[in-house]
Amino acid sequence: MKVLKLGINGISKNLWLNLFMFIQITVIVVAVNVMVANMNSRNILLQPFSYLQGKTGVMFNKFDADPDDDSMVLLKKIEKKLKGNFTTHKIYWDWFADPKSNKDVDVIGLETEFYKNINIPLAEGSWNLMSDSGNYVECVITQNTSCYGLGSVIKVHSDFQEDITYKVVGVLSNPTYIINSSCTSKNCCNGFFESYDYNESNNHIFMYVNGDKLKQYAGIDPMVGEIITYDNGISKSNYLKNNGILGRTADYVTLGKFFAKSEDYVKTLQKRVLPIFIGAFIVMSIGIISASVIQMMNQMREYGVCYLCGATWLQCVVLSISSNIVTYLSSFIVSALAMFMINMSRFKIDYGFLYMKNNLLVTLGIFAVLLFVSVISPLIVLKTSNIRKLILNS
Amino acid sequence: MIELTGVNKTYNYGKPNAFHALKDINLKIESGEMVAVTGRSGAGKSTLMHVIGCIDSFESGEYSIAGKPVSGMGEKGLAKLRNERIGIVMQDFALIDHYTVLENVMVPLYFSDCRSGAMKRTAMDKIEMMGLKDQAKKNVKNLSGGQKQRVAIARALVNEPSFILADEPTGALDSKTAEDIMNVFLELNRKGATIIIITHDMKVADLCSRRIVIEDGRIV
Repeated sequence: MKVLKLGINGISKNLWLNLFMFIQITVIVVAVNVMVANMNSRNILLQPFSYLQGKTGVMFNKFDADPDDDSMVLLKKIEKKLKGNFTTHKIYWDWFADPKSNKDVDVIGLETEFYKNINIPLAEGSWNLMSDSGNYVECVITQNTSCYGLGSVIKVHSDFQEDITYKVVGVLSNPTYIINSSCTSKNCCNGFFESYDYNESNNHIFMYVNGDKLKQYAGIDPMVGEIITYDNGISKSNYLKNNGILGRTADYVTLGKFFAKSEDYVKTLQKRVLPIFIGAFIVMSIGIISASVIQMMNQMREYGVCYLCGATWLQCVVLSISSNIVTYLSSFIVSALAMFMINMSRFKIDYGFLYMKNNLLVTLGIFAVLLFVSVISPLIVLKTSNIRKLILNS
Repeated sequence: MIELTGVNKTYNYGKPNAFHALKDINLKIESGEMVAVTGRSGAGKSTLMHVIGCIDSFESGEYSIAGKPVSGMGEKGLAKLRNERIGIVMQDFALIDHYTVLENVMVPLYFSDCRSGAMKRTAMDKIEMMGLKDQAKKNVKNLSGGQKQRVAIARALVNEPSFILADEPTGALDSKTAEDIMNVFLELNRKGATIIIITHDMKVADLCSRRIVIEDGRIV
């Protein structure tokens, strides 16, 4: 305990240095975590479509061709004309009037494969949209003022098709992301998703459903488009011919462009702030390393003196840890608080912010490196040095 | 009091660049003596100081303090000896610059069995003994060389060691201050302290009751 007290007392002796390090460490940890959290919030948007990555194909928007035509006929005609082997991935879109508010509710349906990797954050519930029990279509719903929450059942009557009963199994966090199924080569901004905030949407509700179940249960194909992926080996001439066929009917965007746009969106913040961030990071790293080296040299002499006065190497370890722990612990706490505040702020809505395991790993990595420089390396030097030289040369 | 028998110390023992720094050292220092260890640079004075001060180990021979063998002691045992039995004074004072006089003198007490409540009083006693009562709360970097060395001596005495080991204690001081410091050592010796001074300064050596000369790692 006395040794611990000696170490902690040492903090006030190097107050400015410790304060300098505290500020540098906190800023670096927060800045790195903001970048990582921002990338996380956007990377998760790509994951549901990961099964399409690397494939040649297009996203075709039938709705753009004929908004009044809900049938499959047009698309079947087009598909018959396409050359080569291909797979189609349907995108469904339906809408109904909310029985409570009479406002539009958009229903977005994608295939089962899509939902295997989806991890858009939920406020409650799950993404299990394919259970076998009950005669209803499971849905994940945006937050809303119609009091639809977990377990709510929404019966929709239509004069034009079978009645459908939806059951809410999940409620999205807010703000969230909605599938950008009307993406074309002209308006494709963020790739697959666009951001959505129900506070700013005039209570326009969106629901995610499994399109395969919608078709299975209700026998309907209220689709708006599809993603066509070509099997490996499609010739360039067939690929171009197919694009020509699709282009005559409606606009389309290639998957390559779609993914590129999505990845651009992921890295938007990084591209804007990266030059500044790198500059600041370099300056701060130099600052931290310099401060750590100065601290290390001071500490080595101190440990040498303590060793002369009867300290064991283990006691020097305790000294080293206790004299640094307050700085690092404070930095960790303040960083966490800063991150919490950023998470509650407008930044989250404007740029996206999502904590995942990699945030913790990055933070621990930064602390591990700094701890090694300022706590462990002086002790290694102490263990292997001539004490007299250590004291005389410091 | 302090007895070394057949002590050998080799740096890089067993390696091609091994250097045999101490060769078959036999030395006995009785309680109350003030002994100077002299020799040219590289003779082995500092190595002997390290061995006597339990800062460094040796590979053969016997070393005992007040009849208790030091050989074979682990790190913890040697640290305890340095803390309780040996007071070390270095050429450049070996003080912690951003500590006050009181804080520097208290350092050995943190590693001893002294109760937390008694540490300050114990340290102040030694500070007063060295005539530095008014400087107790001053930062050591603001002190003169002579005052710093007094602080170092006070720290060396704080745990009432069996002997004081001083490595070139006047090496960084002017002649007047060096004389003052040697008077401090003489006064301590008169009160019964055992003092071993490593020095190349013959004037310092002449003040001691016995002189030991080391040459090429051996006592001559």
